[in-house]
Amino acid sequence: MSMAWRAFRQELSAVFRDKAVIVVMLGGSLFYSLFYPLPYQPQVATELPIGVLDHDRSPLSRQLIRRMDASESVDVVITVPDALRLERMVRDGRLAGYVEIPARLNAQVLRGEPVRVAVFANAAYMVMYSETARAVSEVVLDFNAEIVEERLLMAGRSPVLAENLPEAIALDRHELFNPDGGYANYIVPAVLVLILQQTFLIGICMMQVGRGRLPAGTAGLITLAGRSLAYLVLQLAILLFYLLLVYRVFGFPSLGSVGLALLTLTPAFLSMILLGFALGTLFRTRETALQVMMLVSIPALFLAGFAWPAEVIPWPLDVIGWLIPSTAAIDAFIKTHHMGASLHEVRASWLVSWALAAGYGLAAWWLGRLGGPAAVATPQAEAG
Amino acid sequence: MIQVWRRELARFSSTPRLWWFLVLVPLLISLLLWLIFSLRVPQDLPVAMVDFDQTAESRALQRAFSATPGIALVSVEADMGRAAESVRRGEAFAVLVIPDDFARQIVRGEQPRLQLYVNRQTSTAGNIVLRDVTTATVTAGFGVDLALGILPAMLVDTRPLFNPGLDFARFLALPLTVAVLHVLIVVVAIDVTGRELRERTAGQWLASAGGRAGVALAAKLLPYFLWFCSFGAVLLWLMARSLSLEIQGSTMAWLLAWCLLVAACFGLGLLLVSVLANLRLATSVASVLVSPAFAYSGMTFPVAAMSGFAAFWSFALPLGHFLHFQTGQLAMGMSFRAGLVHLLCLAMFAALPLLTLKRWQRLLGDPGCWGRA
Repeated sequence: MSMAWRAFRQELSAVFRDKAVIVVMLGGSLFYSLFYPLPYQPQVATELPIGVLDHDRSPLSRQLIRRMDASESVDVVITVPDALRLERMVRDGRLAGYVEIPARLNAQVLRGEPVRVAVFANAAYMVMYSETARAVSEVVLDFNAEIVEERLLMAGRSPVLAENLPEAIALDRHELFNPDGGYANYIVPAVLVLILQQTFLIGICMMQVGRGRLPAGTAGLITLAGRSLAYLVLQLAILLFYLLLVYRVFGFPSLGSVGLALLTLTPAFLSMILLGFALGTLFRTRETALQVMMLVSIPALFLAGFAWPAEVIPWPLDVIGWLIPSTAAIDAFIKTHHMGASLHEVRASWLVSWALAAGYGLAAWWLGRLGGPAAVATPQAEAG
Repeated sequence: MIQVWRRELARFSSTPRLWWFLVLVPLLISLLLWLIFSLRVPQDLPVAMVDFDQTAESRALQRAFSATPGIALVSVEADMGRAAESVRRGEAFAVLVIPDDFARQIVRGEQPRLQLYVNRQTSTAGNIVLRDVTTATVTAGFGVDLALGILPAMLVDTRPLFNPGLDFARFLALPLTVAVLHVLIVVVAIDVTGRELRERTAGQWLASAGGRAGVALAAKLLPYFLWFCSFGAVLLWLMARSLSLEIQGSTMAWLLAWCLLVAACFGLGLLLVSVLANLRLATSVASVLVSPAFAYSGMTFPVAAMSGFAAFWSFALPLGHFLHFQTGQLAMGMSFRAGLVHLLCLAMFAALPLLTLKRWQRLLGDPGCWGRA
């Protein structure tokens, strides 16, 4: 035990003496956690600019336009009877879309014939399209319900029936875990886990470059365990910073307790750390670790089956994705901390993390005894 | 110049890392991202259906939901506990509940209320489920009204411009590939120049260029620039073709912009090396600038909705300018005039090293600046 304790203490102090490592591992993970959420902080896209092609120019069409303008999601910035001009504006990125109100809207509604309002939205941008289409559809459907209700009242139906029938089947939408589908609430928690993985992989690989071999036999295993614990403590501390501070600053909702989050992520963190020890033996210079990890972040995020549903990722890639520690980590963390799942309900991912930790641990032990390639001579400045 | 090239060729062939960065990594990254998104449109996302009514009417409604392409109904059992668990475990993206007196309420015109509990912790899947369930409910409601002789007054048609199949994968796969490639190009630009300082070979490099820093930089980087322009253009073009993007604007303008992005990445990399004079530090700072660039680019969450600093930062990074120009040319048929501002911004990044030529001259000539790590 004293050997593990010594390895633990030595590793921790080596990390804190190594400026380059501390900048990436602590500086990087803290900085990114505050910097990354900023673009998404408004959560929901509001006031997207749209145009209206009003062929009718009746009191009814003007009323419809006012309602659209009043919607929080879109903002009617131009009303012209010129389809080409509006389309040009969408093409040039100046409008999110436009609404076409047919001629005789007023007349047909008065005659009781259904009319169709069309919304053309820029579907080259996913969020922009969904928000614009949803907002305009809601306004039109609400307006429709009001007109039909009025008609039914005029036709002598009871007020209750007149209110119910325009929307014969109602849908109550309960948005779970993330009110209003906020974008930051959705993406940032997963990315925080990825940030912890990437910064620690870089830091650990940097520490490993040019390091001597592990002691032979079980002593090597104990040393490895002691060193791993040093990083585990750091990762858990940063996770606490995220959960207690970053979550509060940005107001991310959560359902799980902090304790459960720590418990959920402990095996995942171990698998990241041990993967770092194994990979670190492959690099000859410290920068290479940084360079390679910079390229891995985006593919790792999309292989995690989160931002892009695992259901539509080809299965061989899905399998490869599970070899990356962040996949199981993000899955288990999002479910326990954000969706209120118990550890029992995410046991599959949790066990995958333990299995990865065991597998990468063995790999790190084996590679560590072989020793890595000789490091390229580095100036002393590196250690200081 | 020939001297510099001869020297660079020797360095290149003795550095397997560069071989990886120039050829294999771009290929692997493009292939990987292409494969991840190869199934394109998420379909048949699982939704747990809880039918407390179990009548002909409720089953007809279930069939209406099943018919929508985006969702697939699973585990039709009347147990809310099980349904909620399936959402927490990630087996279903939503629970849809039909109340127990659904059929009777329909007949009496009492407006039965379906309950949809949708997992919004996932954006893409949540949006699709929400959209398809809403549409199917409204359509089924109109069907009920029609049977009673009640016509709707106003209907809405949603027409997706530039992307009729709502195939968002191709609008993710290509920009994400560009995002990773742009990180790679910055990394390489910093590596090939910064390593000369680090390994104290900057003097030789400068000497081979006849003592002029401008020539040394231009000659050294020209082969890499041409390589990334052409190889990147081929990769992007192949990817666009295989994603069946029908190019609406000008292919030439798109690929020209790509070359400008490559130049902008070189500009950014060179600026960092010259200011920091340290390979590792320059790479670290670059990582802070370019790694989160996709998040700031506005390709997912629109720039128009970003607030103050984020909107400014989005404009101040090269990646977003290229991505918006690319989408404009490929999908939207954006006019060249509207895209010009993006090209100008990219050109400004490319010109950054001109500001630091004097500093480069000093860095390459002064051994006191070498060897920092």
